[in-house]
Amino acid sequence: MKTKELESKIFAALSEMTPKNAFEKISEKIIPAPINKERTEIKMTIKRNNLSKFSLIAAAACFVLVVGIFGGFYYNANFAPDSIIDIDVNPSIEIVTSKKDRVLKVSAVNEDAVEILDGMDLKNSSLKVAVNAIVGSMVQKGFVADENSGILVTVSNKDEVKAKKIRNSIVSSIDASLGELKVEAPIINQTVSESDNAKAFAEENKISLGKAVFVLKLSEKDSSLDKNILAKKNIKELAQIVIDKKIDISDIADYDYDDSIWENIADSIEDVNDNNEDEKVPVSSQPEIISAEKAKDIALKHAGLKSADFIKAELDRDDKVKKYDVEFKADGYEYDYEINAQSGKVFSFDKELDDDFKLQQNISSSASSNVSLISAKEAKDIALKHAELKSADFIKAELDRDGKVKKYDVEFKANGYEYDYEINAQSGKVLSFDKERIDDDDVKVNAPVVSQTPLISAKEAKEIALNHAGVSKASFIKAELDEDDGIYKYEVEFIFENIDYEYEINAVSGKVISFEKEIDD
Amino acid sequence: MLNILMTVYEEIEVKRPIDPSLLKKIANGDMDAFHTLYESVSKSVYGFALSITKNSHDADDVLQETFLKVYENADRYKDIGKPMAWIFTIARNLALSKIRKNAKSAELIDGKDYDIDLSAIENVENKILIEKLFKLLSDDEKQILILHAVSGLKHREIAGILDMPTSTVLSKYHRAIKKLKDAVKEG
Repeated sequence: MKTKELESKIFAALSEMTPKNAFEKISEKIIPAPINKERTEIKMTIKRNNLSKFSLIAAAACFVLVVGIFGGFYYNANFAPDSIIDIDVNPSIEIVTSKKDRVLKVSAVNEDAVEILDGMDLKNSSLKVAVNAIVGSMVQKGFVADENSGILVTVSNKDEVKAKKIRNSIVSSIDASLGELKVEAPIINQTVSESDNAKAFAEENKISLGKAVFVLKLSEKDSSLDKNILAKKNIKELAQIVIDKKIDISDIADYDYDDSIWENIADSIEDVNDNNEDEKVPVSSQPEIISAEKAKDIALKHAGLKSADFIKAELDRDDKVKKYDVEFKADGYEYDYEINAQSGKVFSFDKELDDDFKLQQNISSSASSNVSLISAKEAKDIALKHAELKSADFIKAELDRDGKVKKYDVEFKANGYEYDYEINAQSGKVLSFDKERIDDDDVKVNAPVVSQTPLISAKEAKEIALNHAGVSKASFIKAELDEDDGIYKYEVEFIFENIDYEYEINAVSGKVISFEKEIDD
Repeated sequence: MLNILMTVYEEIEVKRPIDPSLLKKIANGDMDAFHTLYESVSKSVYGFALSITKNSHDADDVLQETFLKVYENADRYKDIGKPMAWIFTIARNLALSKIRKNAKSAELIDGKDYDIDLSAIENVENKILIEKLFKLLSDDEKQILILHAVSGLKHREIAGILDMPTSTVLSKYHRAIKKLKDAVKEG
């Protein structure tokens, strides 16, 4: 079956499957001018002013304070506010959730937050979805832009177990959203209980409760810090103070940091202890978990090392058995450990040659290493030469370390085409390439006139492919004429010595459009 | 040659680009324009949603939610000439949050990670093909192949929507095609 035929069958089947009455359903749901209505609601919920409204955009830094407050309720379980969650980025957002963690209300506390919530209707969605959407919007609008951004998650709740549950779920969904958006920002999280002291301080300074608790604890830690001044600092400044003063905040907030305070996402599970007897966590339900430091020590010891460059030491909460993922580099190897977070036992470990190290070694002394890799520059040159170009706008030239064969992914644009190459990083050979016209949806849709230019024969196409592959004869699987966007091409496939070759050959010019080879299994 | 011609004409019907002025009209509440847009991309959106959610019911929801979002946000669409990519990005985000929402219930269906109603497909051969597609292909392969088959987007554009390197999209696409062809051959 031809690729085109296969695709059109898929298309036909999916067309039949598409629900027939969906448009009617959509039309019914459309309410006139829904956007304006949402905007008004958001504006109405602005309660208090926060500090430094816009300075944070420029600083590209943010903190998220998440505060869950357990309150007294007058409604039934579905509509009664169970937790109130403040996401405080300096844009400050407050989420009120029901006992079932459904969003009852999302409010913007200041103007930046209005911008973040713009047009979003999160009511009745799950807390996870809401957090995901808010984080997405924060990233999109530049509030969480780089490693200098920090996110503080604070959860306060009379029911500490519930608070912890909410906090963990928020931290992991923020973590997941950031991962998905390819942004790395550290998350600090803390669990606090609502104290009158902090509440008064928050109101006095017009800051969120979560921030108030953090500031109060910070000022307790270091007597040189004035809580009233701290309250006026924006979040990045607070973070800087923590760094400058080398304040250990591990007992205030959950934070896992090694060389740089902002390099890791906090994942500790220790809770802020509020000296409140009511809030003691039942010991049985929360088995002791070793610290990230301890996990690192265990891994180092196991590897027989004294020191290493740590890449990460993260607590993995997803599995039933809690474990630390510890990664580090030493002496040209990359180590990967899984350590049981309760028993401290090594679950698994892996050691492999570190590519970066190899690369560096190669540059400095290529003779000493038996596996020498070409540089990104060389890979680019090879691709350019192959494409018969003198220059191009490079999009990327990245070393792909994942596969067994190290290769460079090289992408560039030239003369209205986008080129995509895979280059063997050792031999410098072109593994595959592809060339596509850069155009939008509007090109090549006018009925193509069937080409009057004589086309090459299937036999010729086969010969071209064989020549290109450097193979004298092979068993052919196919050599079919096909059309794509008005370009006629042969799809040639053959097998030689267990390797499956696939070629696309321009049926007019006889040029190789793309090729691929893989071991046939 | 006849075969080629037929393919060509089929494609013209399928892969009609979206007229960017449609979105402006929709922003002004023009329901006819909205309907036109729906007619031209709903199948692609549904197919794509199905490839992510792997569940007919969820894909139906995502289809509806996507078009509601398109309607509500049409005024904010910045004309950069890629309305298709914009719509698919919305659909992808909605589908992904759907999966997350359903994460718990999904674990309950053991063995099979898809729940697809094939009853609407008349052609038996096509029915088997879709069944094989969902059974044999990885998530990425499903999404890439379906997007390519139903939307007429280029690999490069698909790479943009799925946030993957074009080379990855290409190799996954080829692998998907190969797997399906092999499966069809074997029967």
